[in-house]
Amino acid sequence: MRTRISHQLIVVVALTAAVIFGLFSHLLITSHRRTIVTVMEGYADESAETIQRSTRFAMLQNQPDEVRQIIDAIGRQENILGIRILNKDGRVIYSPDEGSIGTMVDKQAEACYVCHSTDAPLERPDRTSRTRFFNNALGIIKPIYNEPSCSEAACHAHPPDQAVLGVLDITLDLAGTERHMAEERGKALLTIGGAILSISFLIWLIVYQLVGKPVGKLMKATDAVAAGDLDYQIEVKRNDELGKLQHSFNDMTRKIAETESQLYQSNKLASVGQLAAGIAHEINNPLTGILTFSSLLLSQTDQDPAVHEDLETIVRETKRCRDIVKGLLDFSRQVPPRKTNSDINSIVNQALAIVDHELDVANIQVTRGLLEELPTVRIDANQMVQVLINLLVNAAHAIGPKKGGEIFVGSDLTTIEGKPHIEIKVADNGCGIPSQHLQKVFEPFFTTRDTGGTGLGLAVVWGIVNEHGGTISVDSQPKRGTTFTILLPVNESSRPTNGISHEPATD
Amino acid sequence: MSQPQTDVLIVEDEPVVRMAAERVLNWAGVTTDTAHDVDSAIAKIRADAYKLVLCDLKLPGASGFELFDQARALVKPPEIVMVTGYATLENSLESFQLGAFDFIPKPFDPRELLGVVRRAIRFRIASGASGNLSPDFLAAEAARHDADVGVETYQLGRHSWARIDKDGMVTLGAAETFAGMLREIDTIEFSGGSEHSVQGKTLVRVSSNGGLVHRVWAPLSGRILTTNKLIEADPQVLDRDPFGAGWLAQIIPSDLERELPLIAHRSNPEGERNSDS
Repeated sequence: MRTRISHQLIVVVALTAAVIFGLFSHLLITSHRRTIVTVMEGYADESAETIQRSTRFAMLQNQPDEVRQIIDAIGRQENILGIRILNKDGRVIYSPDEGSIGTMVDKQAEACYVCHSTDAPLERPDRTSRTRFFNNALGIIKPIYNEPSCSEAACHAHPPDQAVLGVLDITLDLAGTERHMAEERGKALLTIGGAILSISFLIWLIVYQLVGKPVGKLMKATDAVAAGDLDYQIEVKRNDELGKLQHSFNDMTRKIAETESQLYQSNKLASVGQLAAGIAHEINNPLTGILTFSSLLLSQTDQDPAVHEDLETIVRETKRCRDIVKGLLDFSRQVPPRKTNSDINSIVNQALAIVDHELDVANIQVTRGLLEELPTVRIDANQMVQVLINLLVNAAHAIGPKKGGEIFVGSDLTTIEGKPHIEIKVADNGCGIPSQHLQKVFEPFFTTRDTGGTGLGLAVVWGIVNEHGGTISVDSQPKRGTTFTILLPVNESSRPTNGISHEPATD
Repeated sequence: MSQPQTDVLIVEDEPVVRMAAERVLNWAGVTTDTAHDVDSAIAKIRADAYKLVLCDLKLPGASGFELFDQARALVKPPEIVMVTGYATLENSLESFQLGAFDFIPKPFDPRELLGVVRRAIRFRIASGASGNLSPDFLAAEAARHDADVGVETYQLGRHSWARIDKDGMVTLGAAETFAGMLREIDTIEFSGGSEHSVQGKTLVRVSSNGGLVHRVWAPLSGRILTTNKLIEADPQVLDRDPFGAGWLAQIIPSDLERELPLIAHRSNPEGERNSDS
């Protein structure tokens, strides 16, 4: 199964958010709790102070009942779990719980331990040491110190050298506070969960819009292209990197389609060429027989005009066969090119000079758009002249008897995949080629002409251009005209034809 | 010699072509013999003094080119003309390099076949196979040498020549297996619209003796600057002075570096002798 980018991103961000928020809330709650505890401690201490002050007078008056009454009243308060006063020996002397009065507490117990951990008890412990937490409760002890008024009181004997007379021990209920804290924690968790959920959703939305949708389109396109649909094009709506990627993808697909079609065409033509060449050689021998014997008969039948004429037809048609075979051999590149450094423009002009008369008779206007200072290319000049003648004659036929016929012949320098190429264009405003025929025009024996033409002209053109490492393409609109474009690679050793004359003379 | 003398041995594996060639030659009074492959051809060449062997290039077993090796071993080897349906530049160049008299692409025109065979037989006779040189050949030879003094030429076999002029142009013409053997020259016609010369391809077509056809294979490639107007007006000049006034065309060579090594360099010993005296 595929792991989606959005899912991965959501998991990562959610985990990060959970950790950060969790830590933050934990710190917040802890600090909150510490504040509350401090407040509670203060409250407990103050309560203890209040109780001490309230009982002080009754104590000085030596009225234990009054003290007991006050302790009882306080002990009934809701948030006070326990209150008691111990004397200096550790005996409970006041408590709302009658049963515990008179019992001794263990000095090693938690509450007492603060001061009584050493042999000589601590007399003035600070507040934090006096406080202890247990079972949702806060306990605080407060020593009752000896005062001059105590030792001087008439009632009895608190010797003046005794520092601590007893201890007040209060236990406060923290259950409410704990409940409150739990509520806080719950709220924080809820907030964190909500925040993570909304962030995740937001991320999903953004990732889906920015990445998921365009990538989905790309994947669909890749699948389509992989399945062989090379016409598939992505509708590009964006201008970011993914938009560019989609654009590149479209370009790539288009290029693959072009290359494939060229390759297909070239494979097809190559195999047709091979077949044609094989047949051509086989046909040459019987043609020799026909040509020889009919020629011999021809020379012996001067007296019989009717037979003579028939034989002339046989000889003429046999020669036509010979020319077709020769064309086929030319097409199948049995004649390898004789490449020399040549100037394309001069080749164009030569070809135009040869067909000049024919174009003139047909009233066709020729426009030249030749780029000066083209580098020379290694080509077979004769073959390339033949290519241009074939294209020009083809253009003239496409124009036919219509008036205002125009042919454009142009040369240009262009770069394809970083390599310089010479581009030759032959364009006409003739009848054009229906799109269903465009793929076939370079095939041997494909012809739309009713008379004349072997259907080899463009096949030979293709063969020659191909043999030169070039490509030829055709673009046509019915009734508007046709353009043939030849691209020939420029080899590195080539130099501009008239480059030397432009160099300044230096010493 | 007591050997029966047949004019032409036709080496061809395709019966119809063999028959056709025999018929054309016999009809013209040329005696013929036939062979189907290189081995039987060699056996026949050893047994009979043929003037000429017409040899197909593509034969079962060995290639027609192997005939040259075998023929060279003979005291007086026959002239060899290659005939092929694979009329590529390479095949024609190689034939001339090996010493072929001429080269005929298939399917041939009877007039062309006869033209080549006639020239070959004449050349054979003239060059002394039968012991008496014809006056025509001697005259042509003399003219050739006069024009040729001190001139270096490059030749496609013994068929056509090229001379590199001082201005870098190249003059092309027909050589001894061609020019002096034509007799009555009727017309000389440049093939392919006289625009280009391509090494190993037809430069001019010559018709002679009221119906024979010949072609001169170009020794070098280039763009044709001028053609010899004199030979068009008086074709017989080609016969009289093939290395001088009978030149055919002047070209701007297009690929000298590559093409020159493919043809033979010849300096004229006659010229050296003249300069010594």
